[in-house]
Amino acid sequence: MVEAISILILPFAACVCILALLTYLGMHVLEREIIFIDIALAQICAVGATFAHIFFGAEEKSLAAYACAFVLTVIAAVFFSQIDRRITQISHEAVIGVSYAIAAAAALFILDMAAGGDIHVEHMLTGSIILVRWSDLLLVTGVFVPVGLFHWIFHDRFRCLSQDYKACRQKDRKAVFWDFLFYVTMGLVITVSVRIAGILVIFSFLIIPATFSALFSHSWQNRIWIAWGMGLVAIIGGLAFAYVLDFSCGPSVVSILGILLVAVALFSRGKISLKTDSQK
Amino acid sequence: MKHYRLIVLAVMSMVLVCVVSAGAKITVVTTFSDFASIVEAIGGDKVQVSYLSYGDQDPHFVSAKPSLFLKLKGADLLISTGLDLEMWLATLQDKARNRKIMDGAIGFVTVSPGIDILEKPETGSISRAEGDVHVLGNPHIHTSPMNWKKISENILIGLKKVDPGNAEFYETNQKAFNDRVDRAMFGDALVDLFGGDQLEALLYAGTLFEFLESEYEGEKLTEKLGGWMKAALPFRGMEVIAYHKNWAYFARDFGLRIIGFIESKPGIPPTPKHVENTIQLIRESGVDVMLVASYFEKRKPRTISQKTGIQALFLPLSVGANPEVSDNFKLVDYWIDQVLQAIKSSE
Amino acid sequence: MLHTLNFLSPQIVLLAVVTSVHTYLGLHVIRRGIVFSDLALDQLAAFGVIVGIGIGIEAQTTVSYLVSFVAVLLGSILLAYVKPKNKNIPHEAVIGIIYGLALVASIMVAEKLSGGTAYVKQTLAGTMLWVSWPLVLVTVVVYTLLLLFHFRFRDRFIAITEGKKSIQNENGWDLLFFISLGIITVLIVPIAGVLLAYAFLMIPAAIATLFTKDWNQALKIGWGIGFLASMVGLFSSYFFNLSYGPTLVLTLGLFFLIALACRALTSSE
Repeated sequence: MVEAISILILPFAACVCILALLTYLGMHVLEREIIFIDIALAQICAVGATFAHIFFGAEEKSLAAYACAFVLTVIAAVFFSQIDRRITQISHEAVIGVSYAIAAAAALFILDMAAGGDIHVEHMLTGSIILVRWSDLLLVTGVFVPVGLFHWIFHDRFRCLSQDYKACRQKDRKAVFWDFLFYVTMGLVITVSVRIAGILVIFSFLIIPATFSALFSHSWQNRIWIAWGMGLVAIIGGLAFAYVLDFSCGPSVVSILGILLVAVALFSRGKISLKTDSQK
Repeated sequence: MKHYRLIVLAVMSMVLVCVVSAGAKITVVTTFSDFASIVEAIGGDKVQVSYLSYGDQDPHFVSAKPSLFLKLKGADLLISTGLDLEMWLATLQDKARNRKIMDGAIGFVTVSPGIDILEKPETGSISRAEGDVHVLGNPHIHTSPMNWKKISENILIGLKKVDPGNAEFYETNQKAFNDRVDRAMFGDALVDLFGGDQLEALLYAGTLFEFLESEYEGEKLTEKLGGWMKAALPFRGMEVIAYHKNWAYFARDFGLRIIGFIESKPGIPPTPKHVENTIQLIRESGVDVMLVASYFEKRKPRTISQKTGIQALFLPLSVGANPEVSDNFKLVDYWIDQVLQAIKSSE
Repeated sequence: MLHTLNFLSPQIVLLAVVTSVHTYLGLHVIRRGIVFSDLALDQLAAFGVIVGIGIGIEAQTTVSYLVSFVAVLLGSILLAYVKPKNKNIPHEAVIGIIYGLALVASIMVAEKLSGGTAYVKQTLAGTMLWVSWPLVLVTVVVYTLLLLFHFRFRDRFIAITEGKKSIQNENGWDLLFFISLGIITVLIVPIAGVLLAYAFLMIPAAIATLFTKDWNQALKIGWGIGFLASMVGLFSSYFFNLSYGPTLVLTLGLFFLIALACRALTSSE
């Protein structure tokens, strides 16, 4: 038992940190319906880091790698917003979907140039949570705490933007700038956490707790607590599962997140549709 | 009177501790199952052995799972190859935080010192982009039985350092193990006459068979050759293709000539041009057999077979990859047997 | 040179056939707006392959295809029927979650297979370099049959997608559409991998749709550019010693980005 804790304590701490902030951002993501943009951004971010690692020899978690990843992520965010404005012939979902596939292929392409491609692909997708160190945790909290505070202070402004962009825009001319800030903070958060936890885990923490909480409540306050609770249960369950059955930590946590969501969704299907029916 | 009882108690507990610790086994963790097998042969019931990379896994890349850390945390002795094959080991050691087995501690032993390393690359630019180029040479040393002798010597040194009390026991077993290896390799007759070390020296000097032409007691020494060397005679000098550079030492010992590789840069998937060139090579040279470690995915070798008619021989690289190859000796038996069968079916 | 062409001929034939069918179905997919659903289905097909391997069925055997098909079928049902009435859960989230869970399930199963991590990468990047003539022939035959079927009934399929006229037994034809999609997904993912399969489906069709709404024109542009891009990718990979699957996706992607740029620049006038 003692050994289990000593192996899992840092991974646990890292997961909790990631859960705390990503769940909240995930609620915005659902509100804005930018789900696939986020997975595309996370993948593009990974390409940036991989590129730095292979071509500049940047150490896996060095500043150069993070900088590269972040810059690429921001460029991508700008790209997507431009497409949104200029291309009307095909839906921007099509562009996002294709971009995701291209980014993933770019990552594989770069990784194929050096040895150990398979393991790096695995790390890119699922992270290496079990290998988290104090320095990683420090970096994550160092970025997450300011971003979290920032979002807490300006919560109302961001919520307004996410819920009804047009209305907000009319009220406040600086809305475009705040919107941009939203994407910058998302980019930062994704950049820092994808290196540790991998694309799949980040995406899951972003979407699944927020979706889960939406099954129970409409209020943001309630939802965030429900999401945190569910996420915590999933983290503990997932890490225990990984430990006992000898799986990687990241995928195990995602599996438990998924199982909890599906189980509750199935169970409450009756309740939810009854509720909306009676509200008609 | 009171003191007398205390003293007896103290003495009895000390005796108990001694008895218990003498019976306590040394926990040994190895990177590969082949080394674990040798440790068992030397350590007997005084050691408890486990390994990190399974026999049917790719030895270059092992992903970190909780069970590996558990093993490392409890280890008294960690054994690895040491030629940058196990690049994944350092991160695991770091995380496991077991002082006994860190780099430089007496509990960390590499088994390659003293072995004649093949394929040392020329100096120049070497990076991971060159495809996992093993900067210090070909690290798949366990495929040669003769290397096991040196490996066992290094393991012995490690065991004696962490468990000096049982040094004699380990030494005896190690000598017996090495003797067994020589006999399995050359056969009892020649080993009794000349000793394993001399035969090994002749083999590597390339003069063994010349030497065996001489007569002794009315017959050529070649008649006295036994063991694996004799069994492998039918394919001595044969050309083969190897999927990856796993087989260099096996080829050296048993006289195979590896003329090409599918994975031109180990660890990097082959590019179209290289595959085409290799197919050309196979067609032109008429090579019959391709050695493929069983941890590789089977479709690619099979496609090559289909296009060229070459036989893809899937061989477990390490002990325990399948139930038949439960120790090093059985592993080599299996390899030689399979190659012989492959030759027969291509006739 | 002749040598090279000989070596690459199975790929060239496969690419010609694949781009044609995928362009056509891709046009439907784009117009119906089920862009991400398809990614989820591709990943489910890959999951099927890995599960097959897990229970001892080798990839690219009939049984393996069947297992994949079951996975894809289940996914299609989920995609069609799970439509949360909850306004806080967009349908896109459901699709994203299905995709994510399919991917994580693939990874979890692969972890317990020997050589596990290689399978995940392979299902993503594909093994197109390693196709043999028998496999190509089977694929060509099935695809040709599908193409003929869709050609014969194209009016009905196009009408449903465009949503202009109402057709008798619309649900039935809808189902047939999804089954066609399922069949090509299951056939092509083991060979080309999830990413390339998705790229083949989306990119030529997307490029065509950027410039025309007419189906016939779109088909010609899509197939033409798709095949051209594939050839560029194939030969680049060969001559520059690059890994095959990802290079193809990247060349298709490059053509797509160029098309986007052209469109964006010309329409802002």
